Amino acid sequence: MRRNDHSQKMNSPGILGIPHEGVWIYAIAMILVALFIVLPHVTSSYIVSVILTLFVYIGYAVSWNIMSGLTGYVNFGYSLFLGIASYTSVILIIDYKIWWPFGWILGGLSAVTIALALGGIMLRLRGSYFAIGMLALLLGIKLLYTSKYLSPMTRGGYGFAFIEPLSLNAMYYALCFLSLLCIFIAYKVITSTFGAKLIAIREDEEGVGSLGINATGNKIAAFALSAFLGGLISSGHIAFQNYIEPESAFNMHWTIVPIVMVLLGGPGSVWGPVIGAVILTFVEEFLWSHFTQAYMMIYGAVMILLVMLMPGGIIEWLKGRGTLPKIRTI
Amino acid sequence: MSSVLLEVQNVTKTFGRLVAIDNLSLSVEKERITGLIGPNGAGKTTLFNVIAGVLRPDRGKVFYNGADISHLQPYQIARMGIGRTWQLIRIFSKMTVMENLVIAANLKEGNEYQKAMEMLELFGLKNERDNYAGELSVGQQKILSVARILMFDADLMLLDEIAAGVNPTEQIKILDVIHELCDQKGKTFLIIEHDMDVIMEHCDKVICMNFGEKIAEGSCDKIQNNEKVIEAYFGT
Repeated sequence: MRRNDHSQKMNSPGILGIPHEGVWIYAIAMILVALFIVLPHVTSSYIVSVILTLFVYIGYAVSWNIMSGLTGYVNFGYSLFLGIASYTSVILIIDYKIWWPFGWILGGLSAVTIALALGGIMLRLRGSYFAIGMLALLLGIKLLYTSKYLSPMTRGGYGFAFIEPLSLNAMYYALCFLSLLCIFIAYKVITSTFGAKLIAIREDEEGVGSLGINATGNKIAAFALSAFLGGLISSGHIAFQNYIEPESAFNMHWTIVPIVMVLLGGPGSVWGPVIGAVILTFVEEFLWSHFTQAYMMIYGAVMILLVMLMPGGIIEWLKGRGTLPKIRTI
Repeated sequence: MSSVLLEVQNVTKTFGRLVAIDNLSLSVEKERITGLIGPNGAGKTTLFNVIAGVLRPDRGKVFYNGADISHLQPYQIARMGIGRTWQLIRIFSKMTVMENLVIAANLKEGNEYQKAMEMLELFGLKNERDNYAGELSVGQQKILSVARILMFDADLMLLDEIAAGVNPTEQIKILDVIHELCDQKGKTFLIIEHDMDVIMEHCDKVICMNFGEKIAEGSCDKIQNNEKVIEAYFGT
């Protein structure tokens, strides 16, 4: 299977160079970004809300993929980081009157702190043990935030309403920027030596040690990065929702849906999660309104089918057909 | 100045009641090719695993360049300059040949791309550069395994049955490269082999193991005629 020719790219910055083929994907992306920037001035706030939700899902899917798509450690407890970041940012902005960008960044950092604290332990677990372990942790932390121990800060199980001092359009642009940031960082990671090491860890975790690669350190770094980016996005997301409570902040929905998006689009690729997010955000709008009870079941069924029939997602399928060049930058 | 690069001192390794390595001591001289032979189950690969840090010795120590590496992690040992290949080939099949090489050079930033191209040239893998490593022939995959550990300039190379399963041309190529590295670049090799011709023609010293113990050590001629070695392979 011939991949593209690197002979002209001897002095390229990354290990795999900048593509000449596939540059049209980036051109399309830039046109779309320009459209998104103009959008709030030409449409209703409902459309703005839908696209804002799209940015949130892109952010979640891309961030989840940076860790789980590359290393193969499926993080079923992703909402753990999202919920912690949400609570941290809201409490800081509402109770302590911190300026909202700092509140969001500190939200992301609180998620990183937890990732670093837990990573050393959780990442020793392999495969299903890691997946279930993270899920268990998520449920435990949700209980903690509901409990009397934290309720002075979190207001317990009922949560509370709030309004962050920024307009819908400001949130829209902030999340647009953050989702682009996530895509940019994913691009940087996947085309760098760091990304290659993560993929190598997925390929043969014990074998990488013999090449001098510290598997644990790299895994924890990816885990923390994915937590930080997810936390940033989640801080923006919760600002949009104007209500915070453990059940929704730590809801499995924010893990399952990004996972299906990544599986659909193509795990381990830069644009796979984005494509999956775009398709499924619009599908979800439809499913939510017509199948309110059954939509999670439908997601579960879709996940199983994807893993069985199209494990590489849309991106791998397109690369296999030759529609897309077989390079890591896509 | 000592010419011993690797020293294994009274190492014992057990798995439950199975004694895989029994109070074994050996040394590997710098810039030499040392052969490690013995019947299947003798403990040779287990010894490699102990040296490379994959397993911890229950007793005894391993010294590399005078430093005690017995309790280091595999990646730390690799960074000190010990490279190893595996009996069952372990390369990253879903990454390209080029990626496999470049990722191994992770310690020396900057010119990894160029170095990888040199490796491809040296080992005749240029045409396979952008193919998935999983699509190479067994012989090419073995060659790739050796090329990878050269990417991070390993000084001591532990090669586990590098000649098995490759065609004669590829075998000659691999051994030529080994000799060149030994004579001109000052690399040291400890190789496990079952092919006696390879051992006898290419090794400076041979160590024979059986049932976890060292039963003989010496030059090729001495080993060939050693009673214990003959008994280990062929019975009484």
